[in-house]
Amino acid sequence: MFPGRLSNRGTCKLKQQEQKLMQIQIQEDQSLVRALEIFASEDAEVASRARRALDVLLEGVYQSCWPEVAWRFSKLTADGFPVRFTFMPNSQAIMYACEVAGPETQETERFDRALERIVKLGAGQLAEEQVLRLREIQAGRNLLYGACVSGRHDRQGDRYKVYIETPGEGGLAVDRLVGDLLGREWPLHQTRKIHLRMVGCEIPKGRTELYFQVDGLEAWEVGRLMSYAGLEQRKPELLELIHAVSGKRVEPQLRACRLGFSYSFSPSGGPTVFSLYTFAKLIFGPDGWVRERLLRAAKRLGWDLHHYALYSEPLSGRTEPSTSHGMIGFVVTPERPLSIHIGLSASVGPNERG
Amino acid sequence: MLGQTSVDKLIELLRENQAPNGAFPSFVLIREQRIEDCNGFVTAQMLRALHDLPDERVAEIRTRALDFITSCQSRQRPGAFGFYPEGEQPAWMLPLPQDTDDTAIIVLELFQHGRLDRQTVLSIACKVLIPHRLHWIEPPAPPWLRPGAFVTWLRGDTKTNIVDCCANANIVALFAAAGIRHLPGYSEACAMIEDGVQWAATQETSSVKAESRMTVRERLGVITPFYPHPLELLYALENAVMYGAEQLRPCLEQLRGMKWEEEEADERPICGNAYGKVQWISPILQKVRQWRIDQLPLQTQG
Repeated sequence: MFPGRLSNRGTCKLKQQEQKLMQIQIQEDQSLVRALEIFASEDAEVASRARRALDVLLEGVYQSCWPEVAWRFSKLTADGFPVRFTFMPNSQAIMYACEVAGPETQETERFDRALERIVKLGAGQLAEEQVLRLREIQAGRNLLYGACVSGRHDRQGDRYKVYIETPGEGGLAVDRLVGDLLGREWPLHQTRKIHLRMVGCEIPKGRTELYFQVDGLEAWEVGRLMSYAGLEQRKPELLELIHAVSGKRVEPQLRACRLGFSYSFSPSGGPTVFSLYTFAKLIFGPDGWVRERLLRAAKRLGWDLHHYALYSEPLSGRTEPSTSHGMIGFVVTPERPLSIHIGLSASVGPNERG
Repeated sequence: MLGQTSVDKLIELLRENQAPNGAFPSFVLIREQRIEDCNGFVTAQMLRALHDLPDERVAEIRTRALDFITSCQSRQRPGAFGFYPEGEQPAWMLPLPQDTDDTAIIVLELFQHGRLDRQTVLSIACKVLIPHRLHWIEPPAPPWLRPGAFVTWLRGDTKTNIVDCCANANIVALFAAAGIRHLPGYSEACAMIEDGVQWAATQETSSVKAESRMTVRERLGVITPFYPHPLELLYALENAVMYGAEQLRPCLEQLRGMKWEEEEADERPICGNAYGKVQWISPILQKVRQWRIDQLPLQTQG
């Protein structure tokens, strides 16, 4: 009935090095656990769905043949953690972006891995035509990260987005993509150097978002960029929001910071969403100051940011130059109040890297 | 009568597998890695599974196991028990405070085996468990949560403290066994478990879009975040009902009626880190549980 001693079947006593690797895996996983527990205390089902999705998306990270670097190689976050949470006011959703493979996977293979992960989640797939178009943009070019995936989980369900790096100076494929979606000739701007840095595609047939980068803008130029989305009349609101959140004069910041901006296009011809991004530390400083400023602004503007407040609590008072906060985005959606997106490394917590 | 050959083999297996410190082994899994682990939780679960074995044949095995789970008691907070003996937590594991679930499981075994008297159990319930309950629920919150149900970690800080229906079933079992069902927390825990199982079973009313919906098994995992496999809730409810928690019998019958894909028992997780990837398996515990299931009909006939 019993096959003899069971404890050693299929296993062996792990050596010290292997125990160390186990410790790394457990500690890094705990960073995600901490965030999910915060969300679970309000909606355990949504948190469980997020965990289920992260298990699939991060399979390559958990199973990486380089476990010592698998949790600190990513370009999604300043500390290399392969998951970044996004918080926005008045939202119960769990939102994150993550790597889709371990560090041993070539950047050129990551788009394929991202598509595989999405299929494994049962979330559908990108149209073949779109895949070919995005492959063409990356073909033969040097990539920094290749691709990643984002997830959004709320009471309505789960949504995913694949992000594809668009390297270098662009090219014909980029020109065509931007032209088709924006309905304008490339380049967008006569004097500024503007690069398309990334394309985000909601799966299966959702929005497509183009992410650009530019070294500083004048306020009037922000208005011009917004006009491409038909949103120029909301420029004063946007500048007011940036001022309200940062507590500083807006124009010098716009001029001095490296900025990102994006257009999110609806496949059904719905309104285009415009967002303006920059690194939180460029306008606020260290993590402790970012947190303090954001929570103060939330109070003044009547925003509910309690998930962010709970999650970022270990950053309170932190003044080290390296930050866990990443990009902060100011989002202009037609006929809706302006909002912000706060990017924060998922490593914040008891094992946080200072 | 239990089959003699079967009992002999089982006892031999237990002797071979019991660690020198009295613990029964489990393995921690995180992805491809696994590491042998001795903890109070698995050892107490083993004692629970060994209830039907004749006393004289396993007296020594039981004594050593009871000594081990006794060592999981906090020195600073008598009556509070943790997953590991204090100071013996493996270096690779995150610091774990004492918790209501291990306290209930271990105290119940110590009580059943005469190591603790009813007065001590009453004292532990009042001083350790009852103060660690949900005092209020601020919406939004999971729909099955009940004020008065037990939280997991025995700590007084403001950090998130997850509520688990399986852990609550283990506390209900302790209260029922000790005849203290009238104490605060018992009814609330039972009500929460009933609502939780009902919520998990009524998937079709969910507002979530079809492709994102969870299976009933996954939803049972939502109400028992520290127990990845729903059989553990079934076992906990069986135990609670056996000790007299009759209120939970309908839930137990409902769970018994559910079917899910069977995986190999040896690899079936017995517990895990809530919302995490760390899980424990114990092939020896599963063997003993299976042995018990196989033998019970014989016992009834005998």
